[in-house]
This record gives sequence, structure tokens and C-alpha cells, in this order.
Amino acid sequence: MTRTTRRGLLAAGAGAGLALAGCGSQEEEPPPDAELLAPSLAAALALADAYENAGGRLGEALAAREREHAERLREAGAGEGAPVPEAPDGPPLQAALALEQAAMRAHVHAAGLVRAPAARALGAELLADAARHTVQLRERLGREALTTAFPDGRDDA
Amino acid sequence: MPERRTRSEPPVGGARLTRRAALAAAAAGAAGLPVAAPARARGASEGEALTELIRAEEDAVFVYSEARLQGTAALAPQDTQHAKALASHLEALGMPVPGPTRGRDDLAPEALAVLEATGDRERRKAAMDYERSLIAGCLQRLPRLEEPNTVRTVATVMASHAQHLVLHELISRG
Repeated sequence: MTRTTRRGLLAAGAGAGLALAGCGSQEEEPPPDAELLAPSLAAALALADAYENAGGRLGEALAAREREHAERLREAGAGEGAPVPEAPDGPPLQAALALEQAAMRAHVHAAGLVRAPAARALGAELLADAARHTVQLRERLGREALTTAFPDGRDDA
Repeated sequence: MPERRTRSEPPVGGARLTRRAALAAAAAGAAGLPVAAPARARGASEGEALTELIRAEEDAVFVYSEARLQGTAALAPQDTQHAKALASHLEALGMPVPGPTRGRDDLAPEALAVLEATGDRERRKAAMDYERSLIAGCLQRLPRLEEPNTVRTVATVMASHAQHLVLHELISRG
């Protein structure tokens, strides 16, 4: 089922902020919130495992944080069984950074489409928390802390 | 996002829109598009929220340009990008875009506190409080947004301020 709205025609790209006036677009009816939140839950669980494997104070702290994310997502009705994002081979924190990027993509997608206001807020809060984690990881990896003004998981890990 | 003081200056160069004018324009359906009244009301709320968020980002540009905190050279340019991205959504609603902040007079207390803090440590602490207020401002306005891409832009702006906050925290820890 699709519908076209006035402002769908003027939809601006998330993050890039580019107005697409004149380019017709169609908005598909989004799936249920449980389905939209499911990738966020899968990412949080994968991150909890990755941080537990990484160990250390930072790993333990962030693993606990991700378990908390998973709990909040379940309370919000997130579905189980979404594909688990794959962590690349390499140092644990590097793998975790790639997973955080995947989590951010899941969170920002869900935040834009979920219907329940609380679920929208949750998606945005999880996105913000994942963005914080990427700065902490980049600092540990000796990389530049801020790589984009719109952290949505699409910038280079 | 902190409540702003009432702006007293006239629009600068025809671009700066007072909060009152923005609200009036929104209420009057300034977009001039043939939309149903309930839709116009919803758009007005979204437009008002976007106007407030743009003002906050313009304030942040001013604050970080003036504060010259060590290690934060990227923050003002990023806040400028935030303002521009939010402005594209506001323009899509047919509403005028606020211009840049030009002085301290209308800054919210959290913003002014960064500039009035004495010493690096106090200024850093004030900047962390300021970033928390910017994050809260984005979160509070999410329920007033309608378009998925607008929600995503605001969510990523909020995430960016979360990154600014942790950057301040890391620098303060040395």
C-alpha cells in the first residue's frame, strides 16, 4: 500500500538536508513498530557480545549499556529474530565500531518510521548513545573523534 | 533545549525571523498551500519546532565561535551544518528560516553560561551542560515532527550533540 503526500514530494534527505522539491516520491506504509525495532534489538545483542569479548573497563561498561538497550527495546515491543549484523574480522574494538555503525543505521531508520511516540524517542536515544560510543571507540583507536555532523552510521567507521 | 529570552531586535536583513513572527506566520498558514486545516495545524507545530531548533543551532555556532575552547574547532562548523539541514525541512514547509545569532543578548542561560564561565575548567563544564540542554531540546521536539526524514535529521542532530558532549568529557579527563 502506498500513498503520496504533499510533503513527501518535498521530502528532504535525512542528514544531508537536501530538499528534493519537484522529485516525486512515494511513501510505502511502514511495517509495524515491532518489526521496525527488530534490527535495533539484533544490533544491541550483537554489540553486547562484542563488548564482552573485548573486555576491559570500556568493554564491560559498554556491554552493560547494550544489554540495557536490548531490555528497553524488548519493553518497547521489538521483535526477535532480525538478521544479526556481522562484525568484521580484526581487533575487537574495531569490530565493535563497525557494529555500532550498523546499530546506528538501524536506529535512525526505525526512528523515522515507528508510530508510537515512545518508540520514536527510544530510537533517537539509542542513536545518540551509539554515536557517543563511536567517539569513545575512535578515541581508543587513535582516530579522529568527530567524522560527520550527522552520525547515522553511514560515515566511514 | 533551553527556553530563549524574547528577542527584541528587528529582523536582520529581512532574514531573521522573530519567534513571535514565526508562530504568527505558521498560524496564518504562511506556506500558502491548499492544505486542509488540520494538516496546516500539524505543519505549524512542526515548523515551530524546527524554527526553535534552528535558533538553538545558530546560537551554538555563535557560542563555540566565541568560546574558543581547546579541541572544539569542529563544533561550530558542525552546528552550522545542523542549522542548514534543519532549514531545508523548514523551507519545505514554506516557512521563513531564522538567520544567524549576532550577539549575546538573546542567548539562553545555558548558552550564555559557556561564554561567561571563567577559566578552562568552568567553561568546559558549562559547555557540557549546554550540550545536555541541546540534546534535551531535540528529544522534546521529536513528538511534534511528522515527516520521517525530518525526524531522522533531528535524531542525527541530537546524536551529534551527544558526540560533542562526550568529546568535552574526554578532553576534560585529559
